Amino acid sequence: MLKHNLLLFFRNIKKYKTTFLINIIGLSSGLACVLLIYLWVHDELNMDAFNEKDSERHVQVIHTYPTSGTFHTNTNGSTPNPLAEALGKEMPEVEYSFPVKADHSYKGILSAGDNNLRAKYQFIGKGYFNVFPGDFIHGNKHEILSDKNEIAISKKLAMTLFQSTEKAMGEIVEFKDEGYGGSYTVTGVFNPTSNTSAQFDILFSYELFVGSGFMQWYNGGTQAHLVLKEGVNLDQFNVKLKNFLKTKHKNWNDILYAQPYSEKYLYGKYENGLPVAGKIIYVNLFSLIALFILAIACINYMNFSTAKASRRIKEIGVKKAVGAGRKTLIFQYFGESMFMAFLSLIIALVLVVILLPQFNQITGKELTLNLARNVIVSILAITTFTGLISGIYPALYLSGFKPVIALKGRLRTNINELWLRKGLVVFQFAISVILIVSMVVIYKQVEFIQTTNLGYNKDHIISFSKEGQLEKDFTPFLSEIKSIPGVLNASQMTGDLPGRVGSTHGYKWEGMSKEDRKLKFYQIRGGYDLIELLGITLKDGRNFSRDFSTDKDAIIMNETAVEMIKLDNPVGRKFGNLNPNVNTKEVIGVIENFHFQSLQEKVRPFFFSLSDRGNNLVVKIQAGTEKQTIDQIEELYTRFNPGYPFEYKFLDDNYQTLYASEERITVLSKYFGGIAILISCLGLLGLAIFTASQRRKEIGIRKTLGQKRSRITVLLSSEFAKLVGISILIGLPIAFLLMEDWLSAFAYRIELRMEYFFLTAILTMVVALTTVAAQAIRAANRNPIEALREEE
Amino acid sequence: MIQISNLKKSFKTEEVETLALNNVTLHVKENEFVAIMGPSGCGKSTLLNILGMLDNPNSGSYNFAGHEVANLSESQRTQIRKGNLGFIFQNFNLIDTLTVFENVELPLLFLKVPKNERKEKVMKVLERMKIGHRAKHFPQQLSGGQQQRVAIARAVVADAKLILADEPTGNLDSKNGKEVMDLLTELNQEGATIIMVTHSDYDANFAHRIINLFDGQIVTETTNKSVLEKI
Repeated sequence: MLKHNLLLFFRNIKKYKTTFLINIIGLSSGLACVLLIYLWVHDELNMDAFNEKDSERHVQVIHTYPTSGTFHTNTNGSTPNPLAEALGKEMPEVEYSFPVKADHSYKGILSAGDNNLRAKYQFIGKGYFNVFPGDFIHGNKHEILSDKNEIAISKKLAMTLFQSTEKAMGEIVEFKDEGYGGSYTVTGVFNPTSNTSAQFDILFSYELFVGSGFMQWYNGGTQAHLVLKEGVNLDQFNVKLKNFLKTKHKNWNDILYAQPYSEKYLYGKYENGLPVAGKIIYVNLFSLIALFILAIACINYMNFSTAKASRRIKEIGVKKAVGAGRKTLIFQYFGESMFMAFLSLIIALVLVVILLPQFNQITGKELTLNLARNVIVSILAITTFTGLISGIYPALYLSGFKPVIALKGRLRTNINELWLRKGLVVFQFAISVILIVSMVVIYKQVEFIQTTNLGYNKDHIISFSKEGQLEKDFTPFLSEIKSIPGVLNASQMTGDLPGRVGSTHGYKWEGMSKEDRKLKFYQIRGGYDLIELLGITLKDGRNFSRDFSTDKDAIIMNETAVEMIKLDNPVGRKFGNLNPNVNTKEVIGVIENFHFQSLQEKVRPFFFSLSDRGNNLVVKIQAGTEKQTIDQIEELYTRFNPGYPFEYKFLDDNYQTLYASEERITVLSKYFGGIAILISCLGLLGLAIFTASQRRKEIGIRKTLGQKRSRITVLLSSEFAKLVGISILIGLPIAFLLMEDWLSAFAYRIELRMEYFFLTAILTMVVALTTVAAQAIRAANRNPIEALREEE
Repeated sequence: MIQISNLKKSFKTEEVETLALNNVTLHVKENEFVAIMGPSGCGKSTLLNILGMLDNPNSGSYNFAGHEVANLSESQRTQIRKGNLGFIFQNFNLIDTLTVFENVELPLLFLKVPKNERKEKVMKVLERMKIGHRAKHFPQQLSGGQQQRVAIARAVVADAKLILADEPTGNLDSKNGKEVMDLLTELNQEGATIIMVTHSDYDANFAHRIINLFDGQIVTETTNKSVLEKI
């Protein structure tokens, strides 16, 4: 029977090539999209989920503190440095704890002989490898770093520095970095783990960090990892943990929360100290898009199979008459949709292999089509699901015909079936409309981010670390760098723009309220020319100047800070500190607001102050001379700082990195939206061809009676236009609500303009009508006699 | 073999109800050849469909080979049809995408007859219908007469006890029509019961008994003595 069914399937493909092509293109491109999204979602869901067995027991403590009337959570996991140890000792629910000090944006320099490499590092406490994976090529992961002079390095570092992982073992390497510089013995070489968000090339013992002396409760930056005893209820533990810091200082109102480590990657945003959806939003969003695309492709199959039932009605009638039961027919039609789905899977897999490099570029991942058992099972499940969903309605519909009706061969479509079929087309196009509007809005918002006036000029500015000799004395370097022809200006600063800007509170000023004590001010400490270099506009007062020796205690505020401290004439006012050891500052100028953080944040109170202790040097380069100027800067840098590799970043790249996820969504929504409308149009094309052939006789009669071709074309097209019109009416409001919600995450955003919706409506209608009209014209141009003769 | 009493069947559309069969009572003996005649719309095909268990009556009784089948479900009727009943239609109703062999093979496939046996039976019946050489052809490649012979082959391949023919010569020229009628006669002589709907007096003359329907009722029943005498 299976052979018979396959035979019929292939003969029908051969006979109805257009239908087959439309189905196979729709299903395979839909499946390819779904598989790509699946690979991405699978990777995201497995990030940091390496500890399946103890995923609920391994928790990381999240530290939240009240500020400016709200709460701020250290999303990087920073907690007071002594916390991990204290919790391990004082909380009976904790089996053991360990600290991790990691700041993956800073890199130290590791040297062996003349080889110098900049690499990310972290300090780990004992117990780290009980829960974190560690693939050690050399060295025992549970025994390494027992001494604070030991170091473990990645295979990549070992190969670069020593050309062999084996040779690296026992070698002495030099590490250059603020606070931890010195000689270390390599006692371990490891392969990096792929499914962790913690990426590093160097491991030190946490004892080394302890030795640096920052182990007071007010010192922070260390992650506190806990492994809870079996059977501990996390919710109850969190109730106890919440105010743990009060036991260290009775006025300490900060709150703690233990989050399963495996959840932190996807739920890494916090509101009032509790995790809320983070990256999981995008995981859900793209899963939904995948489902939509698959639904559109399945609907095409359903619509074709049922619309073209008349082609097979005789077969159904005969089979039933000669003894085929309904189950036999259901099995046959399900088999066909299943076979179609698996045939599409083969093409989809080829498409995935071709598209994966491009997809990786967009998503910033290194996904591969590795055919691990769980991946194969999932792919087969997705394909089977596709086959089942596509086939369920046609199988029930086709097998349900009464033999008497089927044998007559004249299929009368009842009103419910017609509505269902039309409803499915409306559903398809409504989804396409939503995707297109989303595509336009996301594109516009990203364009807005790219082109909005940030209040500073990020173009042609490079920044690099002030380290080594430069850290001790950078003035001669800055003087020389300014003499390079392509250098327009040079200075130094703390942090990085945008995003990495520090903040503190505890300031006082004339007329402040008690509440104002909690007001947090962001601050960049930098050189004299920094404000000018960044192109920030001075609104009032003056810039820092070497002519005023008092400027070391001067600050320049932004407009928001002035607004918050409620001073009418801020210039000349004193800005003190609740800490008596900190000098009182004087406000010497006011600058216009600039976006030192993401556009998702409102501009917060901020000031510039003068300092020689910036950790980055910034250089403004003349446009068009970047290549030769940077070469000369590198030469100068290497001369001043031998043994330190010159690695620089453009401020503009920092800015792009900040919006990487928005950029990704723009590109992906463009592709997926395009594919959705393509598949929908294929469906429409199929139905248009079918309708035209169904109405051949009607068209023939109309033409015989003298109706114009144009009128017939309009008649045939208008039916589809109505459906697409309804889809637009349904899709647009949904798209409006979805996009309003997405944009609400941005403090600075575009407004949803009518033109985006009009554009989408027109585009959808034009594409749909072009698809349909071609068929309608063809039908209208046929000789009426042909149609009438066929119907005899 | 067949005993129907007071059979009624009506069709409803949104506005009208049409009575297709009105209290029809009929007996058909085993190995009988019955022709049903009457003007268009008199209920011939409806009666044939009910006799072939393709449709159910609204009321009345239908006893087939000792079993009451009037109110059986679709799947129960399918089970009885399988192997017991063969159909021949005016428009042949061959499946375009299957070859002659595959079309004839269908009833055996649903009866789960083993492959070798299937092949043997199909070839035997095709040879008998003189279309063995056309086994690998598709229906569109055959003439109308050949197509009807394929349909007859399909009807008899599973040794059906009852053959229901709905205007089997309606789409054929006289020569091919005669051939089809000769085949049906042969099958009847070999033991098959045949009920045939026809408009043609010529075809009806091959039957043992001619039943005339009018407005859903049997109006006359004539025994064809000339045929019976020959038996």
